[in-house]
Amino acid sequence: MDRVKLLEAFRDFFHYGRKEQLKDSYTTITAVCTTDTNRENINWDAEEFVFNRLFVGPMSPLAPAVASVYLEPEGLIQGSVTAEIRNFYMSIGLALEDVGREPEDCIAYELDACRHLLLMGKELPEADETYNAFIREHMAAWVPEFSRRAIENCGESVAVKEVLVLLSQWLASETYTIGQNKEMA
Amino acid sequence: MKQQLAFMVNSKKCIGCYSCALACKNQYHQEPGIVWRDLTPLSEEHYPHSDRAFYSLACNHCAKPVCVEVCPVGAHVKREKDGIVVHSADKCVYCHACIDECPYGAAKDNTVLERAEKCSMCVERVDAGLKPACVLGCPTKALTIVDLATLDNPKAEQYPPGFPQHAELNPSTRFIRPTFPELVLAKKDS
Amino acid sequence: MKKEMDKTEKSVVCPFSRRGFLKGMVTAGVLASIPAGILKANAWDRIHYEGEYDIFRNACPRNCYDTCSIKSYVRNGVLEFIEGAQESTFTDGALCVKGYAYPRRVYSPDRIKYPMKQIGRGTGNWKRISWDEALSEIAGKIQEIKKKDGSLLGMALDKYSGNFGITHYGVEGMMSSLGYTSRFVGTPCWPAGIDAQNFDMGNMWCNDPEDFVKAGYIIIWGGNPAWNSMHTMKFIYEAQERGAKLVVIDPLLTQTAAKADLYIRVKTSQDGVLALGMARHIVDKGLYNTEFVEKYSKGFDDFVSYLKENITVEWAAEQSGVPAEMIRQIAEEYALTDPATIWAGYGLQRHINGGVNVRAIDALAAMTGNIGKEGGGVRYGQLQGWGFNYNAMIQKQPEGSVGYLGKDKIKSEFTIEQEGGAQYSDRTININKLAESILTTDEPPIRLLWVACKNPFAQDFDRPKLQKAFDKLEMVVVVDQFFNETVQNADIVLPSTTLFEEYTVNVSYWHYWLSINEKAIPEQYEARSDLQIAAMLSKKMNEIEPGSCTFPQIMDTKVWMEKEFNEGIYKYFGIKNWQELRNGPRKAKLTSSAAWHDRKFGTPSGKYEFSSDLAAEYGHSKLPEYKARRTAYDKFRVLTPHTQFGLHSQFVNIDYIEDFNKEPLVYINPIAAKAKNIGDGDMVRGFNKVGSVTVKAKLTDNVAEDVILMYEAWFRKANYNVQNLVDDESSDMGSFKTGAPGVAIHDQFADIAKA
Repeated sequence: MDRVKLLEAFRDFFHYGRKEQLKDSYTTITAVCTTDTNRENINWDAEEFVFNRLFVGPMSPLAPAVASVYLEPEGLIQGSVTAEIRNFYMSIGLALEDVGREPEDCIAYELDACRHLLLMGKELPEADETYNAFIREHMAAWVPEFSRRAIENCGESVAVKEVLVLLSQWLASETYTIGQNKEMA
Repeated sequence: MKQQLAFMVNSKKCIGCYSCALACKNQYHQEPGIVWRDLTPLSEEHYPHSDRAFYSLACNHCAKPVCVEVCPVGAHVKREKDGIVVHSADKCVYCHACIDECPYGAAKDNTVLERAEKCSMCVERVDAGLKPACVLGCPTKALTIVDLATLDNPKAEQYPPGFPQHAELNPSTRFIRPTFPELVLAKKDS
Repeated sequence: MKKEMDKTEKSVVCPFSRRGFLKGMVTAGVLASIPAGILKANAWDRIHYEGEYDIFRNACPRNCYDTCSIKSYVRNGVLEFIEGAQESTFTDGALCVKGYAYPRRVYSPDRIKYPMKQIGRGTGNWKRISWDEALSEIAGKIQEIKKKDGSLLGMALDKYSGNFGITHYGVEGMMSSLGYTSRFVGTPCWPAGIDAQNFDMGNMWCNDPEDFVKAGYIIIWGGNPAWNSMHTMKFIYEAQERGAKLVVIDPLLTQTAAKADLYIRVKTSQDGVLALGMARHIVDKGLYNTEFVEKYSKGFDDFVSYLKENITVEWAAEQSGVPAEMIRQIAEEYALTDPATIWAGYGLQRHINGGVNVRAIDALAAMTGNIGKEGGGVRYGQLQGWGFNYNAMIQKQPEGSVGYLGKDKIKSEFTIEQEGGAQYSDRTININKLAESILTTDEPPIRLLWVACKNPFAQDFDRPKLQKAFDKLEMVVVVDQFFNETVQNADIVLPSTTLFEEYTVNVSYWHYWLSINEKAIPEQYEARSDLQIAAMLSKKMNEIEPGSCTFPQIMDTKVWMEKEFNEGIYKYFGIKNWQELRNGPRKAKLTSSAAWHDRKFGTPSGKYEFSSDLAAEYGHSKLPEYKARRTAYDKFRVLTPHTQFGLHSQFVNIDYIEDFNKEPLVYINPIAAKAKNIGDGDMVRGFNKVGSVTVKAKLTDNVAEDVILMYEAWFRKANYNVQNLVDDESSDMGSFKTGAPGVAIHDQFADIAKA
């Protein structure tokens, strides 16, 4: 399985929020995960509406894809959690081009940071450790709750629901592998 | 008498606007349900019109604070120089003693961060020569800081109606009672 | 910012420094502690002081007397907390409950983040679109309308007080820059009183509110500053401490009433009768100020004759519900205290006799010589410091634009009068009859409605009719921050910035301070200010058809802000340039704290006009004569004033505020509730000819037996809208200065039953 390609596809799925990209990244995700799906029957307009209801708006999003909402005690976006993630990105050499415009702890950015660390890990072994810590200590702390809330509210959706399930599986498998490696070490 | 800084709650001036409560949240961003300062509307037993008179209450920075007495790790400290009762959450071991013992409910139970918390009179601001956030944020100057050592206001009370008496703690907060107007009422609107 | 990233190899999060990366890895050993820090308590680290923060100057742009000067504390591009500016003796370091919720509002997960398009109005099926797509669609519609109708009168603007930053008049400018359009004009707020003061004195002008301290006697009449202008209360308290008596006259026992020495519950909208009764007694006792009425007024003798022939104290007592003895007492106290002042609130003029109510109160102040006195006066509002350039507003129609032949003039209480071109003008329509006008306007009908700085579904009258009206529109564009009922009924929603994300400049219609509003943080997500939206639309229009829009394509709000200043403003506020405002707000250099201190009035006669020919020209009586109030059309009077937790439909939806204001309530007198078998906390249905509202009951004798009270607000979690019980009946005045009469918001009636 191409780990980097999968991360990119997850990232793109959540980042663009447009029918075309939803469809493209969905195709990649299901292909990499070798999931058996009936792609022909998906109504992509309906998927886009569900996606926006869950994550974007304009109404109050039912499951905002931002870590702060789940980890910040008061759910404050741009509070301490966003600041921690911003600092973390800085420590691994990343930053948003325009700090303060959007919270750094959006899922698309976090997946992108994961991808960055994976790529770096090929040259710097420390990056692998950092990747493991970020997944285990941070993403595993909020993504399951986020996925659960999103799946609960995703109605008749096929594709959005499936991606959420696959995201949860990916995270569970990463966390498990990290745990195994740690035990072995 | 040594310096004892205290909140002066002037209910005669208080308009129940909640600026003090929100100014505190604006500064410290406490978790939902954790409110260090809140307004208590006076019941009709103590004031004739509903929702028209209030006590703005937080920690009373008592002369004999029970929180200091019961804390096993010294997380509550009464400062010598000005009598402010400062809580240091990093020392807190979440034993609940202060939460259970303070009869005024000043120590709050933060179940999310697993610690006790309370108003420390914005001690860093006070040390920097600034007013506490709630005092600065009061648009009618109903909430102020006074020094009990020099306070000379015959109308200031320690235990106004509706505020429980706990003489053993000797709470520092002082109050001015609300007043009410003479009424001339059209019987009906029609 | 890479919004539309190239998705092949590039990162969303861009590597910014290889050096930073390596340096970062050195500390990566402690990284394990970083995630732990997210979940565990942070070190006891509560506040940081100036120095660590970037500090910005802001001003609250809400439709509020107090227009607070704000100091904003920003770190790493994030607004952490705000304070009231201490340089302003009016704001004096304190904000209000709403202001302190701003940091939470800016970063609310509920904010509208991107331009979006609804596929089927009201379906809730939304697609995210780019700014380019949104503007192309709107521009396409504009072109279509021009082709179909031969003019752009089918495009209408509905805008009012959602943001009073001066540059927001750029929305009107955007409309002009496209051609001659339809404009909803007037104001639901205060127009009857504005006309009244203009008939009497030639302008609306009030004393500096900070000079309340000089008053010996204060009447607050039909206003509730403890909730709606809380910063003024400290000056009133100071007057009381110096011995002044405070009298509150209001149909409700408000929080302000609780602070009074005397509270008089008057029958709603009988304030004018009460004032005329007081005037009659003052005449009978000879307590009027001979010098003022002889030297500085016109028509006093006619007024005296009118009083003697038509008004008795006993009759006024019967009409107003205030005992004759009390009328005599307050008339004497008011006339004999020097100086005495009256604050005429906006509530008392939201009636079919609202304008004459204010004129009768003005007359009291004039006949006792209190006008022009420090610590005196009749205070309603003032726009002395609003002399900006309105550079963003004043835009030329594109060449060859065709408009309305009716030569309508656009009037606004705030800005200078705009006239159309030589041949054509915009088409003006009464803002207070939005629903009715959309349904009935023809040749051409309104096809495209642009909504900015307004939430008509929460504010406008006859909510059920408005739904029908919106169904008739071909396209609705709404610029907003939150998903309210109006956005629900939009085709395209455009995300707007908050005050912290743009430059502008603010003054008050009450106090005399000027504040700059700096951009403190980046625009959130893809939000844009009204001006930026206009600039982008202009670019798009010119791409499609060169010359079809004249709006300057300037995206920097600071440039727009700078263009609003002029020598007059600098002189009035005693500054050399706007940059000085970065050090704090500035107060106007007043020769006196009193309005009309030289007693040279702006009326045709140059005097205070008890008898106004101008009033007669506009169809009113020359004198402030008694005018009957609206006949009740149902069992209970319905009052829907402002809540302390919001400003119109803003703030009540913020979770910080929800901590203290959880749900809407209807306040009912216990006697009335008992008769209807309603208990405290029961769900109650209020209903009348307009519609119905179901809401929880709270029993209180702060309201009279035959009055029900509901605060106007938009709750995100409750199906609650007071406009279901308010029709669009006009008030008497408003056309003279604001272009349309006001609304009789408080002349509404309904019945109630347990739900």
